[in-house]
Order: sequence, then C-alpha cells, then structure tokens
Amino acid sequence: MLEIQNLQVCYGRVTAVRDVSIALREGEIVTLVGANGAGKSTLLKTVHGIVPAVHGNLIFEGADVAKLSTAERVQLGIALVPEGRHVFANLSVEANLELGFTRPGGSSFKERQAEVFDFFPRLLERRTQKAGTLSGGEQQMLAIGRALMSRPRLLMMDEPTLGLAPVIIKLIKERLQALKSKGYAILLAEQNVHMALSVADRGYVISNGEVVGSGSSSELLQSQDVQRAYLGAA
Amino acid sequence: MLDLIAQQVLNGLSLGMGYVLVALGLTLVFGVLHIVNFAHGVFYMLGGLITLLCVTKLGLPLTLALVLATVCVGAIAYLIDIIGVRPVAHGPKGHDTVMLSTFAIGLFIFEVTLVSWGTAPQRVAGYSGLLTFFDLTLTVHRATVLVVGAVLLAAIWFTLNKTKFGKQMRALAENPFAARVVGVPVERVGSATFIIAGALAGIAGALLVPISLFTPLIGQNVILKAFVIVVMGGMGSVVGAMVCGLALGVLEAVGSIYIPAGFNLALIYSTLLIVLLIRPKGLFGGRL
Amino acid sequence: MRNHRSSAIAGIGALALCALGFALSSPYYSSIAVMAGVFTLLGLSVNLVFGYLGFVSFGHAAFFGLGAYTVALLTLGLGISPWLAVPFAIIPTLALGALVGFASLRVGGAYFAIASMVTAEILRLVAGNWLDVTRGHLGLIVPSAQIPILDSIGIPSTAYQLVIVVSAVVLVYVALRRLFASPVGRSWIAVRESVDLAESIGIPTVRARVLNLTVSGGLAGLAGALLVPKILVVSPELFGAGYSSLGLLMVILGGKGTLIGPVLGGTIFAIVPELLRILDDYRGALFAILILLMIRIKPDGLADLLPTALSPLGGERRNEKADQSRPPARLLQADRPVRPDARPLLTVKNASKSFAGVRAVADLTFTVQEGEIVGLIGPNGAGKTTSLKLISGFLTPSSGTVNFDGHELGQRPPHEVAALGLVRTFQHTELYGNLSAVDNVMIGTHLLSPTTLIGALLRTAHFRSTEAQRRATAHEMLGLVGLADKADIRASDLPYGEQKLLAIALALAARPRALLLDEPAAGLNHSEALRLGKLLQELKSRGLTIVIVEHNVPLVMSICDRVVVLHHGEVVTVGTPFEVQRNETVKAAYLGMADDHAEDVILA
Repeated sequence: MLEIQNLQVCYGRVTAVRDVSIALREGEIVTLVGANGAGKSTLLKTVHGIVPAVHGNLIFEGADVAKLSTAERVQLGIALVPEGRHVFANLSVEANLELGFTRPGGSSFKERQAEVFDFFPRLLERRTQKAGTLSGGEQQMLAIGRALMSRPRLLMMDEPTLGLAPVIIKLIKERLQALKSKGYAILLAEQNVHMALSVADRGYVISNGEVVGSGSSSELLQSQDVQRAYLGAA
Repeated sequence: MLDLIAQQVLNGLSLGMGYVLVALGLTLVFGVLHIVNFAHGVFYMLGGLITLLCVTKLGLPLTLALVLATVCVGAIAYLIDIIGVRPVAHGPKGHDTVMLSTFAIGLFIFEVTLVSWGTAPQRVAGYSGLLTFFDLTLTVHRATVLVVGAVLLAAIWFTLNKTKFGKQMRALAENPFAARVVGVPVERVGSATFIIAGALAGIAGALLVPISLFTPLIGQNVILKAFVIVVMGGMGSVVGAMVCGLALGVLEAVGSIYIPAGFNLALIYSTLLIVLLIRPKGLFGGRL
Repeated sequence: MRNHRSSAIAGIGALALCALGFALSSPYYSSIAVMAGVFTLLGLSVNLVFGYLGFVSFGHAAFFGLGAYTVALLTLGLGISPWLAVPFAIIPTLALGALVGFASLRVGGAYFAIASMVTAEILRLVAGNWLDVTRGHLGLIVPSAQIPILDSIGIPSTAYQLVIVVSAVVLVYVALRRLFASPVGRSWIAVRESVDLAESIGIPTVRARVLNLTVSGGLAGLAGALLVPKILVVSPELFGAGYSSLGLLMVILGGKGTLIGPVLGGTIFAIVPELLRILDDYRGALFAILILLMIRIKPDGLADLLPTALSPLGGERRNEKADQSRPPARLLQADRPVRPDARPLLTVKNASKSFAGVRAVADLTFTVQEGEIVGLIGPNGAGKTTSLKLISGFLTPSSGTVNFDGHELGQRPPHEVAALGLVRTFQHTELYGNLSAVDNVMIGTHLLSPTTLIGALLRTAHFRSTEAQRRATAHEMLGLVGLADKADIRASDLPYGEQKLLAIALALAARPRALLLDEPAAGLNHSEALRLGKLLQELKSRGLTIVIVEHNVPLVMSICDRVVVLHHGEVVTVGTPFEVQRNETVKAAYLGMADDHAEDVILA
C-alpha cells in the first residue's frame, strides 16, 4: 500500500534521511525504531507532506503522492498522529475531533465520533472539556482519535508513548493491537523498542538517516543491531 | 453636564462599534495568519470612498452603496493578499517583509487616492431620522451602525465557535503545524480570513463615513486607533477588540468635551505605549 | 591595517571634496547636496536599527522632528544661532532613543513597528496642537542661519552650510565604521540574528539594544537639526509618515546592513526629486512602489552591486593574521588561577524545573570536576535540554541550585553566566550565516579585554591592541577546530559538519572554563563525529571542562570520563561509561519495559 523508494530528505545542509526504502502492506503494522535524531520523525513527516523530499519516490496505493499537499494526502486517506501530540489546547475535545473529520465517506460526524468514543471511553467523559486540560495520556488518545476520525487507510504515529506513564503505555499498546485487529495499516515510529516490536509485524532499524536493519519483530528482538544502534558496542 | 456626557457616551458607542469592526479584522489576521497588515487602514478608507462615490456620483441608495462597498473592498483585500502577502510571508524574515510590503501597498493606495481626490472633506447623508429616549437622542444612522455592528459581531462569534471553518481558523491560530497535519487547507483558510478582515474594515468605513466625513486621511487615522485597540485588547483576542474598541470610541467622544481633538488623540495613543511597557500581552491575553 | 583604513577615509574625503568643489560653485547644487547629506544621516540612523538590529521602524521621524524642533525652540527662545543649537538638539533625541530602547525590550517585531509609528504620530499631534509653544501648523520660523565671522570674509551661507553638513556626514560615517569594527557593532549584528547566541557568549543583549537605539535616535535628531538652517521653517510634518518612509526607503533602496547603502540612498533621493519636479505630487506613491519593488526584486538593495570590500564588519580583516610563532595558549582565562582544591567546578543540586504544573526535570543532582568530560544522555523527552538550559542560565530552576565556580547561577541572565566562564552551544547550530567564519568567531570574542565606546570611536592605542588580541584569539580558535584555512568563507557555505565545528570555535572564543555542548554530533556522519570526538579530547587536554548532551551514545561512551543518565526528568545513574553500559535500569530506560523473555534475549 505504501512504498517509499530511495528517499532523501534534507533540512538545509543536513541530510536527515538518506536513501531509505520501506514498504508497508494493507493490514500490517510496521515500526521504525532508532535513537532520537535518527530520522524516523522526518520520514513520517515527509510521507505526510509536511517536509519536502529532495529525492526518491512516495507511492501510496499505486499513486505518486510526492507533489500533493498535506490536505490532499489527508483526503486520500493518510493520517498522522504527530510527535508531542499537538492537540488544540483551547478547543474542546469534540472540536478537536471535528477538525479531524475530513473524509466523511457516507458517515455523519456524530456516527464517526461515536466510534471514536467507543474506542476511547475516556474521551467521551471529557467531550466538552478543553483539550489543554486533559492529562498527557488523554491527549495522546485524543490525538489518535482525531486521526481516526478520518478513517484513514494509512495511520502513522510518531512516538505515541513519549513521556507517558507505564500504565498508559500499556493502554496505548492494547489499543494499537485493537486497531490491528480492525485491519488498520499502521506505520509506527517508536523509541520504546519493546513496546513497538511487541505490537508490530515487521520493523526497520533507522540510524543516522539510513536503514541499518530490518526484519520481522521476532528477528529484530533477537538481533544485536537494535541494541548497538542505541547504546553502542557494549 | 451629566447629560452631555451621557450623550457623548452614546455617540461614542456607535463610533466605537466602527472601530471594533476594524480592529477585529486586524486581530483576526494576526491571530490566524500571525502577520500584521499595515495596509488595513486603506480598507476602511476605500469602504468610505466607494460608498461616497456610489451615493454622490451614481445616485445609488445608501444600503446598496454599503453592500457594493463591502464587496469591492473584499475583492481588493484578495488582491492585496495575492500581491503583497502570500509571495513574501514564507521567506526568511517573512514577518518583517510582510510588514514592509503591506505598509508600501497601503501607502501607495493612500497616496494615489490623495492625489486624485485631494484633501477636501466631503459629506454624505446617512439614514435619516432621530430616536429619543430619556433625554438622549440617537440618529437612526448611528443606531444602524450599532445594530449592524452587533449583528456582525454575533456572526463572527458564531462562525468562530460553531462552524467548521471557524474551528479551522482557531486551529490555525493556535497551532499552525497541527492544523496542517490534520489536513486543514491552510492557504485557503488564510486567504478567506484576510478577505473577511478587509470586508469588516470596509463595512466600518462605509458605515461611518456619513458620521465623520470623508478624507483620504481617515484610513491612516483609523489604523492607528485599531492598533491601540488591538494592542490593548491583546493581539488575537476577539473579546479584547470588542471591549477596547467600544471603550476607545467612548473615550474619544467624552474626551472631546474637555480636550481639543489633537491632544485627545495624542493621549489615547499614549495609552498604547503605556500598555506596551506594562503589559505587552494586552488586557485579554492573546487567544482567538 | 593602517593602509586600508586610511585609504577608506581618503576615499570618502576625496569624494566629498570633489562634490564640495562642484557644489560650492552654485547655490542650487549646494542646496541639493545639503539635502543629500541630511537624508544620508537619516538613512544611516534608520539603518542602525533596521539593518543592524533588525527592527523595522515606521517612526524615525519622531527623532528627526524632535531634533529640528529643539533647534528651533532653542534658537527662538535663547536667541542663539541655530548652528550653536544643533549639538544640544541631539540630547533630547538621545534620551528618546534610550527610552525607545528600553521599551523595545518588552516588545519586538510588529509591536516595535507599531509603537514607532504611534510615537511619531503623538509628537506630530502635539506639535500641531500645542499652539503656545509650537504655533501649531503655522510652524516655527527661524531667522536666517548666518555665521557673521564667515560672512564678513565673503563666504556665502550656502557654502558653509554645505561644508558643515558634509563634515557631519563624514564624521558620522567614519565613527560608524569604527563602531562596526569593534565589539559594539558586532554585538548589534549578533543580537539581530540570534539573541540566544549573543547571550550565550556574554553579550548583554539588553544593553546592546538600548545603546543602538540611543545612537540611532541621536543620529536622526542630528539630521533633523541640520535641516533647520536650510529650510528655516519647522512644522509638524517633520514628524510625519513622509520622513519615516523616506528613511526606510533609503535603507531598502541603498541596502541595509551596509554603510554605503544609505549614502547611496540619500544622494539618490536628493537628486531624483529635483529631476522629477513634475512628479512632485506623486512622490509618496512613487516611494511606496519603490519599496515594494525593492523588497521583491532586490532585498539587499543597490549596495549589493558594489564590490564586497565594503563589508559590514569593516575592512580590517584581511590584514591581520594570527601570530603563528606564539605557542598555543591555555584556554583558561589568563587572569584566573587554576583552582588548587578538588572541589567540583560545577555543582547541580536538586535542581528542578516545572512548566505549567508539568515536571520537566526533578531533583537533578550531579557534579563536574574541572578538566572532566561529562556526558548527559537519556531517551527523548528525558529532560536533557531542559537541564542544559538550567545550567547555562537560559532557564531559572523552580527549585534547587546550580553552582559554578563558587557562584550561584540561579537568577543570572545567560550573558552573566558566560562572563563567569560557562558557555553553551545550541542544538540547532546557531551561527551568523552571512558572515565569514572568522567574523563569526570574532563575535564570540566579545568578553575578552573589554573596551569602551570612546575607545572604539577614537581608535585609541588600547583599543587597537585589544582588537588585535581578539583577532588573534579568533584565528587561534579557528585553527584549533581545524578551520584555519576556511576563515574567510561564509558560514552558510560551509558543509554542515564544519558549521558545527565553527559553532564550537565561536563558543571557545569567549575563553570559557567550561563548555556546555548541546547535541554537537547531531546530523554528523561517522567520520565527522570522530573528528568532533578528537577535538573534544584535545580541548580537554588543554584544561577545558566539557559537559556534552548527546544522543550519539557511542560517541559519548568513547570520550566521556563520566556519564549522567536521565529518564523522565530524573537522574537514573551516574558513572563511568563502562558502568553505565551495563546498568540494567539504563537499558530498560532506553529499550523500554520488557515483557516476558524478550528482555533476557536483549541482555544476553
């Protein structure tokens, strides 16, 4: 469904992503692991159209999306839950969800919202509250819910467990597994290797903007590549 | 004496309502687009000018003239957006460049109008009639200004809080990055905001020209007052613009009883400097 | 060194004399020349603020008009010649400039532009309405500005008017040139591009801004004052938008950030309107179009077309090379003795920082001995950058203490922390992209051998020797990071890895005792990271203490003496690299909570 071919992304003089090729099929959860600054975030932002690619191809469901704006890519069914959540703090939970409702496809806002509330009951409790008053974990749920409002074909998540307490991480992980069973295709960038590999089918190890390893989750859990990428030779 | 003050308060409110509309436009643009439009004053001036021309030269009824003026100013705002804002807003030092660019455009339009029109003030008749209650009088035109202004304010409030477009504006104001991420069409929302802002100033100019005479200078004067209002009320705050705008109108009207016009204005402008020194965020913070 | 400077002066002087000679022959031309001179001064003053400090001012006419009115009022009130009043007229404008300077600290950018516009308008309204003092719109009329002595020997007033104005312009030009080739001018450029970077190497940015606006105000006031003997009528329009836009336009047209720009602009604006008399009414509209066109087509102004010899930082650079024969100096400040006892140089004790109820960093505690390299690592969101900001004065701890060299850092602004000897670098490599490498490092020398403003203006021997020392230091630091041969290359043209090295050279130029590096290896490839590691070890051998915040854990492990690991805003452990790599909690922090046997597999 998603094919990234030989992607190169630069910020000014820095090459953040160097010749990266990644593939993702329908219903798969693929994770990108690697230290901070390795380029995982940049990769997701480039797929979403926030950062332009210097070189390479981005094929989504057979179409070349490299020239499309973010708004257009959202209409095609790509959604991103950005790092740091970025909820609209001064808007209510409902308003936040409404902003995510970009692809009706037959359903009404109320219907889609009900699905999200079903999925994250805590949000239903807080529906009229301003998003800024929610806890970190709840904001993360809101950010995910907001992305789900567009019923995306491809859901991308950038460090969803960042700064969250372990019990919330467990909840997020469980919700991710629920999404998987619903057939969502998810591209997940995570620093928390264990969580990521326990949820994903496959993974890519990113270091310094390049893919330095890949395989199924179990393969990666066994390999030394991951540990080396994070902590250096022990 | 008390009667005089009360009367001036009433007059000041209608004047203030006009200022509120102008300031609202300025603050919306700042909140959503994060830029300051130094050409904002010409929207007001052109609103007044077109109304004047429609009534005196084309003989159109006032209401039609008002509508025409608003539409024309909206179109001009769109042009200014394309010529002076969009091409430069995203470069390095974009904010500075937009300030300079809009300043230049505003100056150009003002100067051309000055040369073609001259400085002779001209008057146009507003809605005629007089309302009285207690011991106070209010011209029908001034009452119209108050009513139209209130309706527009309500419409803006409604848009911002109850429509998707309004939420998109607020999203863009609060977190442009997140707005882009969720698929808000950033350019379109920005342009629409700019046009609405211009139209608001245009209506204000059109409505107030029967009250306060037309000269090309009215744009320059009003923008300074708008700045005072916006800074005092807080850049990006709608409530702030409302409260401070009405307050300014009242202060100006009441002040004119005691202080000659020039000093009156000088004092009002000085309050801006004081606020900047003490509380730059303004009295109402900076949220849309 | 001498050659270049005197040739610059000679050049200006020669041009001025030629112009003078031609102008003196005709009152008409000398009148235009006087206008050109006045406009040039106005342009230079706007340039100071807009070009060198980066603030857009729509109200410089406030100073201009104030200078003119002061001359008129003094002349009429005291019965003296306007020429005598001119120097005194500068005083209120200096004061207004200082006031505006202080105000500018609270607000920047758009607010400053608005405030400047409003200030000029207030003065215009006062001048137009305070009939008792200013006669309102009738204006004040100054009796003809003759100097009897010169009259008696037959020199026409237009002639000596011209000479005085041109002399003033030349003096101001030379003074500004000297200012820009000194720490004062460099501090303005530093503040313009990055306040944080300027603070980090010890530039008191508040003082720098106030000084800039004071000088700028005085200069514009001088321009207005010098206009009075020529126009003889002082009216409120001197405070008007016309003169403010003129000042701005001159800078935009001529080129901001250069000295020659406003000179070009001033000349053009004096001459052109005369040539285009018929377009008099349309002058304002023409100005506006010109501003617009220049912004879009040639934002750097016409001065861009001139050879680069007239660089913003003065032409001294090429003539001063580092003294290669001297042995490499110790990096520590020469006048500070090495601490004899074994007390740590940096002590952080229970430092905490909360933002709106969220605890970013809690109970941060560790010490750094002099001469150590200590690494600060942790997963994303662990609080490393917050910790670094706490240590360097960019953030104040909500509780706890940070002590450097016996001094409590607490409430001190970053430039004071830098003056104590602790300098930080920035993750997003802050540099002055448009300046050459050596000019960048020169900005870092701000703290060394401080000099006075007078010294800079008069080029005293003391100033020259301290400037030479600063230049030598700059070259030395470039050499230390391996960029000696790239001294004259524009910083933004350097490859990324070398830009990071340049940023370190800039920090070193302040001759710190301790260097705080914020992710210096971010974005570096393997060989660049190795080069960086070698440099840091070299610096350590010269006595520098280093704290490095990094994600590149292999680099940290290879060069650090000790490592502090953060997670969730707290210290997990402190130890040698060897210890840390084997620490269970560290592994869990980085790799995440394990379930079942996955953990055993990883740790095997």
